[in-house]
Amino acid sequence: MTRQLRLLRILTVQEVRMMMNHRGWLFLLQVANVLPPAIALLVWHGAVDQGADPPVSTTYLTSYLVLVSVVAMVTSSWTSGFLAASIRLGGLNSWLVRPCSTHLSYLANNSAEKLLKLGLIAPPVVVLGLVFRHDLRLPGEPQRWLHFLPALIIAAAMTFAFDILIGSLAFWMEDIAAIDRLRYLLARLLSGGLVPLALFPAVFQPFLAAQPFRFLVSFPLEVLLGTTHAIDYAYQAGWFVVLVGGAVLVWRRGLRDYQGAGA
Amino acid sequence: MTPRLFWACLKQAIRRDLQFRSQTAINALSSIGDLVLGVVPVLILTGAGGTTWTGPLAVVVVGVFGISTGLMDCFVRPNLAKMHGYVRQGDLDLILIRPVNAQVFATLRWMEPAELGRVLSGAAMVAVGLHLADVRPGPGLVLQAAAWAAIGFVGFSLLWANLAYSAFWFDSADPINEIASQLREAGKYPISYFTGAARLVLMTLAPAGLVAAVPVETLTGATSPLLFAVPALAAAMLLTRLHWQLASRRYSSASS
Repeated sequence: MTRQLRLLRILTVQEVRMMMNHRGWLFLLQVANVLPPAIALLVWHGAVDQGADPPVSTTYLTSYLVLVSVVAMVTSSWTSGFLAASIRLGGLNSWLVRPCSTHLSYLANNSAEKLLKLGLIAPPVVVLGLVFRHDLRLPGEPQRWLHFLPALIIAAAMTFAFDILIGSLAFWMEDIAAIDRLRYLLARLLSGGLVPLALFPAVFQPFLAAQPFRFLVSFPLEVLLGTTHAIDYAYQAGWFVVLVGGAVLVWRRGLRDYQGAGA
Repeated sequence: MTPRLFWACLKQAIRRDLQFRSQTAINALSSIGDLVLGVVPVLILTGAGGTTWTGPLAVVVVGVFGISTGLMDCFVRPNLAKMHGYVRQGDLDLILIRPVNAQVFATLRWMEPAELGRVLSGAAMVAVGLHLADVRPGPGLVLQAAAWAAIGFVGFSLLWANLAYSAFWFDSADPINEIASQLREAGKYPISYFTGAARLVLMTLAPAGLVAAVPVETLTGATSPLLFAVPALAAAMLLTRLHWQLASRRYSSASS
């Protein structure tokens, strides 16, 4: 375990150094990430100004949409495509023979890129916050932030596990791009990344509260903004076990079928 | 790019898609799903009341948006997404040496016919939305709305092309396509929800508002004069041409 952690640290530092060369590229990506919530903020503020009556307060809506791009970035993962390619082309071989986890390099890449992105997403989010400062309320209670952090880290781990699960399908399928796109479409709507789930009609709320995508983006924000119930933590723990367990099972089953294209 | 060459490129794209049929089918379904799921935030917004926009009319806006973006993603986007690679890897050489207009060829060479699924589903949404909203526009209004949609399509494509040409000026310009794509999403909301500077920008500099919202307003009888739009579009085309000429002079061919 200590060796794995040491290796992870070395790989993460290596990735940070490499990604520092692509600062401009990463910054533009963060600007693109902030655009959808910025558009949502503009239209919802326009609607409220014209007399619309959303089921949540303008303060909640604004705070949620200003912070959502940061949470979505921290909980994002882009491993599935690279993992699928390494399975298809045999690149996985070089990691299988090493005395460490195969996913260590993806984890290091994920952590390093997010570290840099966190600094780069801050300026556009601060600008967005300043534009809508009159309706922005960040929670002052340290307890909320203390609860928010584990919810955020678990959400990031769940997305990473989900990515490994989808990428591992390449053990049996030639191309997973379409499945990945379908997952992305569902996640975009059901995770609360585009519209706060609280804005959906009441009839859908029981389903939205229990489905897994909620716990990838919306839930950490709900914890921070103080709109969760005790049962929601149990839901997140349950989905965490399902996704991580599913990823482990599919990965192990797939490895048995793997032949190694380059071998 | 002559119509014959365009047709040859389209045939080749269809043949390529037919070679990977299941992938094409899933991509087409995803493209349709993208549009269908895209209507949800707009319906939630109109459901909150406050404006004259109703759910069915919002469906029409998303439908027109689907038609425009389906065409854009089939014919324009695949090429502009390659611009960064053309410049960085020197692939532009293979376009510059051909006896064709390099700018037009670089903008229309690659096509993704699977995206046309969104055009069909968008058209279906327009028909259903107009029926539910009980709006029956006359031929004159339909022509006027089509003209606005065409102006929006060309205008936004020109903006995207200019952003993509930033690859000639900057090393890491690839995500500019993602920025253009996200900016375009503003076009699926009725323009009246945007106020002040945002509305002005979406009607002029980044004309996402002209892609769907203004054409649907026109269908409902709201008059929007085309008088200034056509010369503005011509000026934008001229500027894009100049930008290409200026930018391509910086191209030093990475492979040579």
